[in-house]
Amino acid sequence: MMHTFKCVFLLIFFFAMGNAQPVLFETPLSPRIANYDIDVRLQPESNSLQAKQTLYWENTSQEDVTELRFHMYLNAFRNNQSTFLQYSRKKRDKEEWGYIKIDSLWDTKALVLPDQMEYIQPDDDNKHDKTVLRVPLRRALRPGEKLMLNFIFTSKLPEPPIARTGASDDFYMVGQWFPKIGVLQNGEWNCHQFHRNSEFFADFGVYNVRITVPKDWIVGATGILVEKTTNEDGTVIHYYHAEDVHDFAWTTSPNFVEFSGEADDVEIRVLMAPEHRGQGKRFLKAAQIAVQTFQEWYGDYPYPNLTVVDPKPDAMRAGGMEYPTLITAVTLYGLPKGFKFVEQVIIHEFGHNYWYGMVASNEFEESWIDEGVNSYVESRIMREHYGESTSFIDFCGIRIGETDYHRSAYLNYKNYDPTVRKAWEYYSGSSYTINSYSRPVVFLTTLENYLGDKVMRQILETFFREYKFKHPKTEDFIKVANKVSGQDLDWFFEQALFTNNVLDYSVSYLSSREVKNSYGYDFNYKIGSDSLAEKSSDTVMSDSSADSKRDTLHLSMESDVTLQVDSTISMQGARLDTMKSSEEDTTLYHTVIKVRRVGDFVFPVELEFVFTEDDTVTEKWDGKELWTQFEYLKPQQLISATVDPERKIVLDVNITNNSKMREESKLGPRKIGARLLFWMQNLLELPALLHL
Amino acid sequence: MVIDCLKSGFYKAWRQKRMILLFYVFNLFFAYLLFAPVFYRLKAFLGDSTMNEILGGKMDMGFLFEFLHYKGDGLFAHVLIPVVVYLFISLFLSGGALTVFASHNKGTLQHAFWGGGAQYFARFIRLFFWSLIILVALLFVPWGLFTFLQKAIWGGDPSQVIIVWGFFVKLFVTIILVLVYAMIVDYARIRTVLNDEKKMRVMIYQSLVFVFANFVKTFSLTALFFFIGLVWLVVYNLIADFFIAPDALVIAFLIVTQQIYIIARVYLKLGRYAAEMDLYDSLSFSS
Ligand SMILES: [Zn+2]
Repeated sequence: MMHTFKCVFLLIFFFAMGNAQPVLFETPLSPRIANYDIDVRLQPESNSLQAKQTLYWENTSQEDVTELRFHMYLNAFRNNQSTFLQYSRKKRDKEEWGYIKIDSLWDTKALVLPDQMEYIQPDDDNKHDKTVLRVPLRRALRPGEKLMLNFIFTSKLPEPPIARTGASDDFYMVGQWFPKIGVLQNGEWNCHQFHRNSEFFADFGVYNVRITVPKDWIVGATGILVEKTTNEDGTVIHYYHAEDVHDFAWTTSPNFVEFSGEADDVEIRVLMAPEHRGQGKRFLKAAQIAVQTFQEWYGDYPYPNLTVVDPKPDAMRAGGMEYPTLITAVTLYGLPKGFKFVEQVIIHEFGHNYWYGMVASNEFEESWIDEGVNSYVESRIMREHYGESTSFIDFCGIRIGETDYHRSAYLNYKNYDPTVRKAWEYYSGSSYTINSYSRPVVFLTTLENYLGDKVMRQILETFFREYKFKHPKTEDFIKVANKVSGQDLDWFFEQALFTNNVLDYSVSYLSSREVKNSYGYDFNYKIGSDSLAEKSSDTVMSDSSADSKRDTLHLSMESDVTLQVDSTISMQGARLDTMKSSEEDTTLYHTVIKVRRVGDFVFPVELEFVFTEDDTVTEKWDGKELWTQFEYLKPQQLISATVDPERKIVLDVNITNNSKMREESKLGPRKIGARLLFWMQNLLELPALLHL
Repeated sequence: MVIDCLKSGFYKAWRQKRMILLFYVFNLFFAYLLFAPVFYRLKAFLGDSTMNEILGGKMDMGFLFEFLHYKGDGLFAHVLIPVVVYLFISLFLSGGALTVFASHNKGTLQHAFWGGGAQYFARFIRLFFWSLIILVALLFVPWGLFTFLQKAIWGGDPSQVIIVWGFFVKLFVTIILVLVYAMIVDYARIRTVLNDEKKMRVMIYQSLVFVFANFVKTFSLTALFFFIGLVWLVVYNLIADFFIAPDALVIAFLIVTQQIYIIARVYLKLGRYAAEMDLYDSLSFSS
């Protein structure tokens, strides 16, 4: 890992000399397209922000630009007709509304035409939605040309917070609060409206933000604190500086309880709600695990610090959100350690500094890349640190692993949508959530089991290395996966990402019978070893008139010889019996196993056929046909047949039908039955326990 | 006095082994009615999968989620009816048990038990419905009054510390008040059986007076039985934890332990009836 920033960090302390802005990275890590200087003053009495913003923007495209587009996210909470709120039935008090309005706008070249600026609705034509602002230019801005735009704007924060931004008494979580320029891609603006299910997309840049809050209020923000100065009116300016990030969020409250620590070379600051101070160390520990594991597995976290914010209990809707170098977590007073969602959320939100923060995919259009990849990585880390079957809940004998949790969630919406879809085009909010979070966990865990943990980690490490500070798309991820694994995995991603195909294999038929009569038909076959030809020639007969394709027949004799049947001869549906083997007294069993692909998702599977404890046959099937059949002639009778015996294919929506036993085991039903009956007996006696 | 009543209650109940068996059989039968639809749905879903074997060990959460997803619809809807029927049958059985304990082993057990059950069944149902008013009034204290006070003191948006601790306080008070309610019902039933009373509203009132007039003693006895029940629950859980291996013999031991626990619960219930009757007798006599 390269850790250049520590020495660069020192440069900050020299900035004042020449009144220059501080420098974190001597060499920019990103194309700094959208850079902001903002002076903002919080007015707690009205939950509003008064701000002056200067945007330094460059046309890095090859095309002329005739207009600019801005996200005005807070207008999603302006009224109940916004695209975000139009289906919300909740009645809101006046405090619950939020908005952003530009009071004035100008630039040094007098290019912008503020009189002609208008709200547009590129996604849904909802004229009431005012979350995208179009600003025409007097003349086109040429490729490479820079623009310095000045704004004076007012933002009103909703109380309590909604969509992770807003106020609650004297707690403020300030996100998506300033006019934010869209992303120009191939000469076109990518600037979507704020939808109920969508998140964000922006270009990288440098932020210098001076935040004015009342005296003694504690502030946490994206980037590093450069200095604090006290105004004559007693308010304090907190000057924050961030480089190579694409968003800036901040929080303030007079009541935070601070904890601090470090992980590797990253300083961690935790701002806890007073009620939750008892969990400060727990938060810190989870953040340390996150920082260390991400750096070890995927690459350097180049920023010097991380701030973890615990919103006050009645502002929980501000919890569980990611911003560059600042994340919000969530907890409850007295939450037992066995409920791992504190750790889960902190690791998840920190992970977004990689997948979203640095690997800045478009969250509007391909949410699976940030949420899905990140949820998978988070669940992988949770498995590593908190146990496979206890990484979600481990409390009072109840143990649930995070992968099991995601798989159960996936079952509910397994075929409503393909994974990749614009955030507002899913069947429902739940389908968006499942396809963005749980389904990617399930299919990426399946891929991990298929390729191996090491290769999977290399894929993500490479994806991070090659696409950090860029805007990768789904195809880029696939390209990296193919390159790193050395395999063409298009077949997998095509199904997992672009279809709603469901994966389900089952053992549908099983028989294992003693061979008694010597009747049947003859057929041709080749024998692997000449020396065995004579011995085998009178062993097997089969009906050659059957027509399905099947090219191997596994006939394991006592000598464990596998006979290759001529591929032109079909065995499927054949009546297969045998003459007695050369040893007259050996009883042979003819075993037939049929395996079906019940779902549309094609995936190669492993099969395990258990004959005795020491005699287990493993097979592979590419899973492409609708079904296949395996036959054996062995002195042992089959005990069980299982598709995917190691449960590697987490995507399989029914694991119960993955296996069959020749003789049903009574063990499980007896145990469950005993417990169930006992629960019912207790249920009936429950009133008696309370003497009713 | 309370300890003497406790001892004699256990002793008297122990002498009624057939009654214990009868209570147990009823519990088992109704539990089976609840269990069967769930169990056979589960067995059908399991088919001849190797999951049958896997579940002989620990619960497989992947399987459990899958079962609930595919076969969980309406799974718990059928629970309500047998539970309600069982509640009424319990009222019948309690009439029988109290009659047996009141008869001091005079006459035949069968006659006293079934006769008593039938004789007091209708009265106990009326008593049960009237008593619900008492229950609602008692539960109003933690969930109405306390909630109101909490709001008055800490406002509508209190700190999570208040919410969480407030909940535990309410829960604790609820348990105490439910025990008080149970005492009122129990002594009303005892008085009904001993004096062949017919007016259930009056019985509840008189029982209420009796319980609070002798509160230390009545509550001590009831709380003791409650505490013993909790201890047995803990002991059961400690023992049951040993029986997790996927082995037929281990599962058999688990089943035996479970049933012994249920029988112990039934014995505890009958012991309480007998002990409360003794306490009522001695307090009425001494007053
Ligand atoms: Zn996320």
